[in-house]
Amino acid sequence: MTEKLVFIKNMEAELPITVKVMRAIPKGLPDFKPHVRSQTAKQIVQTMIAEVLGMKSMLNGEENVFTPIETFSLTDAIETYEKSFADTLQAIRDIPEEELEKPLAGLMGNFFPRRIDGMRIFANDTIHHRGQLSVYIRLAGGKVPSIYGPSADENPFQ
Amino acid sequence: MANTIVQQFIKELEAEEGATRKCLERIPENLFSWKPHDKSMNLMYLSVIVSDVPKWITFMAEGSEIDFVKWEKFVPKTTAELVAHFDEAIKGAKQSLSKVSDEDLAADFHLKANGKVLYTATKLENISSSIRHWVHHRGQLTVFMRLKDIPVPAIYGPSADEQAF
Repeated sequence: MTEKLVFIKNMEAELPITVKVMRAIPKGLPDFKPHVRSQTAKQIVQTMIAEVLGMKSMLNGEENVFTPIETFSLTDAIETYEKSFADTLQAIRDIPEEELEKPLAGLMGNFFPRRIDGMRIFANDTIHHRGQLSVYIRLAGGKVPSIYGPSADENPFQ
Repeated sequence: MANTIVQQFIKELEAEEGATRKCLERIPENLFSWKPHDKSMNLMYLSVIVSDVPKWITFMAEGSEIDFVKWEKFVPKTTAELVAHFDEAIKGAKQSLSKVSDEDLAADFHLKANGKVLYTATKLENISSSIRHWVHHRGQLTVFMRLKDIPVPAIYGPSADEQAF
């Protein structure tokens, strides 16, 4: 098992969970935010799209300029996320492992000796933000799906 | 040279350690029982999970199973106890990983409830998903913190409270 294969396996496992969580955001509440200083649910999904696209640009070692992707609606954002994710995942599958070991010009102003380390930051950040969305869903009165284990609304072990 | 998977896991733990500790040390003990919704975990329970995940990893590196029923539930009385628990757990996880090889991680590891197997996968898969599970719950914790006006540290990038990254 190589680092690249572990990375790909993780991404393959995460996509369906993330889409399930995004779809659980109550309809009509794309602008829900639990606190005046929080991002809205839609803004979080838009950030996650930018990260998935950013991971693809890092494959070439390009400096990442992080810009959240503007979308018309939450449904539109979820579709864009799914499509971008599949596209980035395929690009990672197609690249030789040694390319991932090459330097990344910049990510949020920092130099990374290895591209895969920059990519991992964005991959983990999507998990971080999905965790935030799961709390938003609970507070907005939605049902929180099972993520890595049971939630109060869904228990895959029962 | 590419990292071995074990080296990679140790580096990931090191990369996540600082921001995780910053969150935990800001959880005030007088809010431990607070929860944002009837169906949510309370703040202490969620914080304990975040502090405990590295200990799961130690079990995965060294043993062959975790049985939820036998898991020693940690109940901190203070923020200091919570942070000390985390420090010990992360130190233990790094030490136990440093003693295994990628080949060792190909063995199966079982999650059980009172002896009944709930889930089996390789140690490698279990450790990898535990790290992501950890990131997930820390993400939830940051929303709990924001709701109680506890400053959220910069994690993978700036937060509304901390621009420095």
